[in-house]
Amino acid sequence: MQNNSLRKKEFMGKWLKGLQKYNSSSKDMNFLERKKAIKITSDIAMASTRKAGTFWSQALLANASNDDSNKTILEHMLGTNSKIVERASTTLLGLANNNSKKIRSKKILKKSCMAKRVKRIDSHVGLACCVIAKKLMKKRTQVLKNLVPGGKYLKKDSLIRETLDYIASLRVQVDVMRSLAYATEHLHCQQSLVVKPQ
Amino acid sequence: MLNCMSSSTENNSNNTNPSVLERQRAIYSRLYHQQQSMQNNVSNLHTIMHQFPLQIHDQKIEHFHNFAAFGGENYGISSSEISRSSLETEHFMVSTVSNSSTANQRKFEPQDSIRARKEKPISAKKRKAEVDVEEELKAEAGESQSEITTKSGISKASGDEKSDYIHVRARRGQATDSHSLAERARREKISKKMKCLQELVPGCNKVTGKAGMLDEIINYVQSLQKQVEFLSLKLSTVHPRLDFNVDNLIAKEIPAYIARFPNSTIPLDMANLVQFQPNQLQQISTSSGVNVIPNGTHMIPPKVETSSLPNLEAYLDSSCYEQLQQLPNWDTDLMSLYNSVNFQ
Repeated sequence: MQNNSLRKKEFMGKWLKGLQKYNSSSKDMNFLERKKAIKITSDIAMASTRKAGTFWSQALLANASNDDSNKTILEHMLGTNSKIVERASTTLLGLANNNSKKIRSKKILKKSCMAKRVKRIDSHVGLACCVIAKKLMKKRTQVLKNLVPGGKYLKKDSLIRETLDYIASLRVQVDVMRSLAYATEHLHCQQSLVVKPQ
Repeated sequence: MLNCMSSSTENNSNNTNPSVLERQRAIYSRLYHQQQSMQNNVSNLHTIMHQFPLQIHDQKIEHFHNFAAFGGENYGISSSEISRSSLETEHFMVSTVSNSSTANQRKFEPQDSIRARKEKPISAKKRKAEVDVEEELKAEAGESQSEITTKSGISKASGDEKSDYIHVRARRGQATDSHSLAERARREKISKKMKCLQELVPGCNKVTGKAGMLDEIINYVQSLQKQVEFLSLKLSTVHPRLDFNVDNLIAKEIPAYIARFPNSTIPLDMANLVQFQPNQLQQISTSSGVNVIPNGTHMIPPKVETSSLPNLEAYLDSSCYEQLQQLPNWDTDLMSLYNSVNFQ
């Protein structure tokens, strides 16, 4: 719990720093732009609290750094740790390259395996349900891979570890954002109630 | 002879998985144990010679024939090993067992066969029944770095392999080759982490089966991500007001919003939700978020509002978080919200 509150504080500090930077850089913003800015800053703050030790945070940073408009904020928020972003993007690129090769070979493998699979199912009816269960698992892990940032390049055991971490920090993020939203809303409500009688 | 047996089995399995180092080690250990067994043989021979008078020799030899059949079937290599190791002691045998034929003598000496008979059931158990895989894995050490547990002095050479082993036990009927052991270790790792996830994700401990758990996890992650989206959306609408508050502009703006509510195209239930706000206020006042306000306020400078904002704010205020948690299909709500944003 203590650890959690510490994380929340850290995240809060970084996030507000990022928001400040955003506001100082561009004053007039659309509603949607503002929303995007808030989301990106919170994402970056969340990723930076993890010290880029995990893969998903690296992937998040790398994705954020792809957009040119975010680069200044990234640099500001991470400060001297801009090397982290470079490293993250390079690792991501390397993994992507590896993965593309894998995919190519996988496609060929799939084609060659399809015929065998059909035969096997025909021959062993008992195995069919086993195969179906495996397929279900595979589909779900695929979905999970798409959800977790950078999950495409992970194996299953490391994917689950990353998901654990990701969920933990998402919770922190949601908690902090919710409390901020409540706070602002509360203030607004108070104001409105005070103002209403006039 | 027990040592001899184990060394011979090791040698046997090394023949199937040959690697130079292992073979050398096996050979050394076998030589060592042969020496030991030699000494044992001699001592045992003397004791048995004392115990059994020479008259029983004929009966003994018959027994030995049976043992020969038994040993020859299952443990061809090991029994031949025994015979080879005990060839040196054969001259004792020849002197004592003078009645038996030379062919029988060569293969089955009294001590050896008795010993072998005693050890065989145990070794058979070792092979097939539930064991710490350790003993067998020692023999398989060639490839499996992960599962080797080194107990005896035989495997001094594999000191570097000691450092990174994972203890895996094979139960009855489970395969003990290195690939399936590694696979089992991996699966165990995954299931451990899945258990951790189960604790972390609410409502996941009711679900059984990995697929269901994964479903739950996916849902949870998705909901968290959508919550982040939604909260950022909400904050983006709330922030400007906060700034007005700072500049004391809110006093003029807010009544205008309230006046606009009935006229705007808000659905009835949404309007009801707006009325719900005073209740919510009490809840909010207890929340710890108040501490946050000073930070939030001085950070954000005032912003110019766009024309589409009032309606959106009405939407966002009404769909407060408490309600959303109660609604089962708040994802769809959020989607409709997004749509409304896009259309406006």
